[in-house]
Amino acid sequence: MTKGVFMKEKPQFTQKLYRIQGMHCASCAVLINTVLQKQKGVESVNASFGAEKLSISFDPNVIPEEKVLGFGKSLGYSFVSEESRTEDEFKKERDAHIRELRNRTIVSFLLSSPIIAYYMAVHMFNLKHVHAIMVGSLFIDLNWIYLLMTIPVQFWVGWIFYRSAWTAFKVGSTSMDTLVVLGTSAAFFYSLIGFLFSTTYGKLQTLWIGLDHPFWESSAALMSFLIMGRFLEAVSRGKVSEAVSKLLQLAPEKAILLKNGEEKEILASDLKKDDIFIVKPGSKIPTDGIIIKGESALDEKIVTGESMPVNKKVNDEVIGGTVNSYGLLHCKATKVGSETLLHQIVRMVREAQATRAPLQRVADWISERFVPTVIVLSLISFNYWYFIKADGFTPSLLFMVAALIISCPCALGLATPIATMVGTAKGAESGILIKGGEALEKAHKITAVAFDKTGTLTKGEPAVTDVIAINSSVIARSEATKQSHEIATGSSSPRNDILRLAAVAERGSEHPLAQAVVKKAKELNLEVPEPENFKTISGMGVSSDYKGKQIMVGNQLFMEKESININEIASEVNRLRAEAKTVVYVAYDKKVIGCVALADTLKKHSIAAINALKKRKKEIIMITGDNEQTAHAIGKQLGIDKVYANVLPEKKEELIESIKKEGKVVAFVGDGINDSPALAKSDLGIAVGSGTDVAIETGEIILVRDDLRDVVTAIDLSQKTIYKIWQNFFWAFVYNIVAIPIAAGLHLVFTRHSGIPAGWVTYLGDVYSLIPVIGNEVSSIWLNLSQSALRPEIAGFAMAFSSVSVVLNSLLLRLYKKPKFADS
Amino acid sequence: MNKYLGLALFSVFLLASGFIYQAYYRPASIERIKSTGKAVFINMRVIKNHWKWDPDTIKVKPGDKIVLNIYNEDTYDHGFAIDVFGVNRRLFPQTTTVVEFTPSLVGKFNFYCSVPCGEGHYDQIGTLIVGDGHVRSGIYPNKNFACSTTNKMVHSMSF
Repeated sequence: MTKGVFMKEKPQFTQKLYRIQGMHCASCAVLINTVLQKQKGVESVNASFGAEKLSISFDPNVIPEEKVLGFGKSLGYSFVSEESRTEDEFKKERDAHIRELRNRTIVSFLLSSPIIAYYMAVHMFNLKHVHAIMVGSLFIDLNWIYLLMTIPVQFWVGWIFYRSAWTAFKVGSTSMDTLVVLGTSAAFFYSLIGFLFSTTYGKLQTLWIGLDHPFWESSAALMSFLIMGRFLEAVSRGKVSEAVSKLLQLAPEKAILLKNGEEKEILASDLKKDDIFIVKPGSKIPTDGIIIKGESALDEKIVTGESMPVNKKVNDEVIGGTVNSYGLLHCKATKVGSETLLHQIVRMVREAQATRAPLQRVADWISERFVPTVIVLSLISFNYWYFIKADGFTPSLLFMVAALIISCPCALGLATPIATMVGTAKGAESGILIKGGEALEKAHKITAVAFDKTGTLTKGEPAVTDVIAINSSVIARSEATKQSHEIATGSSSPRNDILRLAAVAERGSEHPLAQAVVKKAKELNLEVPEPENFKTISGMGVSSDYKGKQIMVGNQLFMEKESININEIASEVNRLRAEAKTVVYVAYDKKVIGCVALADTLKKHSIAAINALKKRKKEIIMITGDNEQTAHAIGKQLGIDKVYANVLPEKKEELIESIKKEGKVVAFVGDGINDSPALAKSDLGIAVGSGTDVAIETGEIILVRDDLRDVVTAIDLSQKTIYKIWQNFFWAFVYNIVAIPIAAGLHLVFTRHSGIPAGWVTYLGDVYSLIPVIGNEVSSIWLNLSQSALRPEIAGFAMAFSSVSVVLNSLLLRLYKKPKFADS
Repeated sequence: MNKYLGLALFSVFLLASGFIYQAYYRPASIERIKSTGKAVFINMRVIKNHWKWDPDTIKVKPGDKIVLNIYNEDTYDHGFAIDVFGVNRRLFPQTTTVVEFTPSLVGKFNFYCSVPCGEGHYDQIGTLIVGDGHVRSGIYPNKNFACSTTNKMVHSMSF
């Protein structure tokens, strides 16, 4: 590269995307990254395990593509160009991978559970132990059976760990798998050698006198739990990507191709760029394209999150998977196959999933340094006991083996993935897609939650909130909810008449306010007959004739133009306006008879969600582009701590930034429509209600359902999961930190001199024995404990037990219950 | 540098310096007793359901090789272990097991049962005395403890 630096011409980097085959562990991606990064001519490498993708930028003049592929091969992977595989093949391979892991797990547990159960019971309950049985006159050492059961577990099941460790070894790196292999192999071979040479073959017995204690359960249990961890990990990853893959199924299988004036039904996957295809009313768009003929409204909710159908005409873009409502469209395909928006969304999610949790990186960082440390420690302990303390070869070796076995960081390695898995799976069950461990971690640190107003807290469409009637001497008014109840019971109240008349007049209008009025009337089962002489007065309102009388519905301007006196309800109208509601007047026969107030209404569970968050001591912030009045009205209704109104979409991001500067850890909850910069800027982006593509990209938590209570559940669940991870870490760490020195015999350095208890130990023992009644026993226990080494079989048992405890502790998370809400 | 190469070099270095230390620098007081080649044959048994070694005290001269013929009277396993000499051997039920080793230190040491075997397991402790037993007085006062507990068990059991 030095040459290249001095060369005048700029290096020509090409960007390539490959799919990686043959990755079996997260460290594979790390290896690919580190190895390729070191190569001359490679600008940047990003291999991702979860997405099985390699994105690399290199200079083909310095390093030809074949060489890059060659490196992959030498590491044991193959890089195939992106186009060569379809989503189906990908899924098939993933399924096969899961199946393989499942088979290994089943076999592993079938073989090892009797051994584990037996040894655990014996050690925990101090049972009478039988190592051999007599069949007739034949003496059968049961260890032969255990050995036969353990071999496949250690080598067939454990093969994937050996493979990973070997991969790591090849590039001079160490991973969790290295220690797994070291620890379990030490346990297995210790047992094997001890068993074969200490009991079976008489001549060799004296040589291996100290090794006669096979403890098959250790390697069997470790392998079983580790493989189960891998299996669960794969399943949960599969589950989340399956949820995402379902998006892909939204695209129809068939498409109607228009070629030379003939219509022909073909597979959607056979569509090529620039093909012309026809979309009939009510059917789905097969691929991304552009309209060349016809117009229609398209339901794009699934991709963009937009709840209302979008009107499209010639030259407008259509998105594959969206639904055509009424028009016949002729479109030209612009993107096909994996380039379509749907595929991109899926890919993005998959990519995001592959990111590792910072906590997991902590574990990786540790294991990277832990392995050499442990090996060095075990070597030192052997040296110390053998050379310096002149202990025999066997006892010295035992210290070394015990240290190796106990250092196997299985609990450490299981701590994060199992808890994350259970947590995210639990989330996915309730429609909360948590994009990996990082999102979990962030969610748990959140101190403030900022909400977008329109479309998130509120429905984002007007609804009738108040109806005011005059003219009948009674001016009745009540809250929308109360009123609807009243109206539903007595259908001929004055307010219902007003609403009905307004709805009749506005039946033909497509204005959102008009539609809201009609919708409300229909909700109340009011009869809305067809009016005559329907007219729209642009920017003002509508007028229709009904039963010979003219109904006019519109704004103040309209009333003034028609010189209708509205003074009678001016005070009511002012009050409603102060509540940030939009008011339309209803005039019947040129006389105002009442008015209808409309406003954006809260979503069903907004209040419950906000209350639950406040209970969790989170600061609630609302950010909206709406005016102060509306914003504060909504804010007051929900009890929001801080309301920012008149915030332009592009300023939301800055606002989030400034909130963060105040030292708050802020989550932003939005539906993704012009929220994406804020979603990205916030510490944790939560995209609500399937959201838009960008929201899926930038949001770290995606709520499938349009229910704000899931925000609370997501935060709550994340917290519980993170606590679990820390618990697991704590146990795993404490265990290793305490147990390794003991296994290496560190305590004996102080408590034992030349093979017998040190002076202070015996002195203390004498002191203890002075205690009345139990003195001798205390003294004896003290002397025994102070002189005991952690024998390898006990180390192995403890090791297995710690993994079991981490797994069980994590599985407890499955019992997680959603928080209770006021409205549930 | 490659991590593994470093580790390999380090272990070679450790071993080499260990051997050098052992050969030239290790103080004589640390040195272990050399075997005299003389073997002491001892018949020992584990008393049925008493979790007790018989004899529970063995006395040998420094440098003697101990050849133990241990008969386990029980119908379940025991184990014979002395950590400091790296001895750890399973004793099959109603079988004689030969345990051979040469103590490399002078003093009193505990041998104990290394296989979980029920109620009396933790009390199944005996004493090995190498030398006159007075030189180093680092003795475990376990005998009383072991016996009293075991006796209690014996009395309370019907068989």
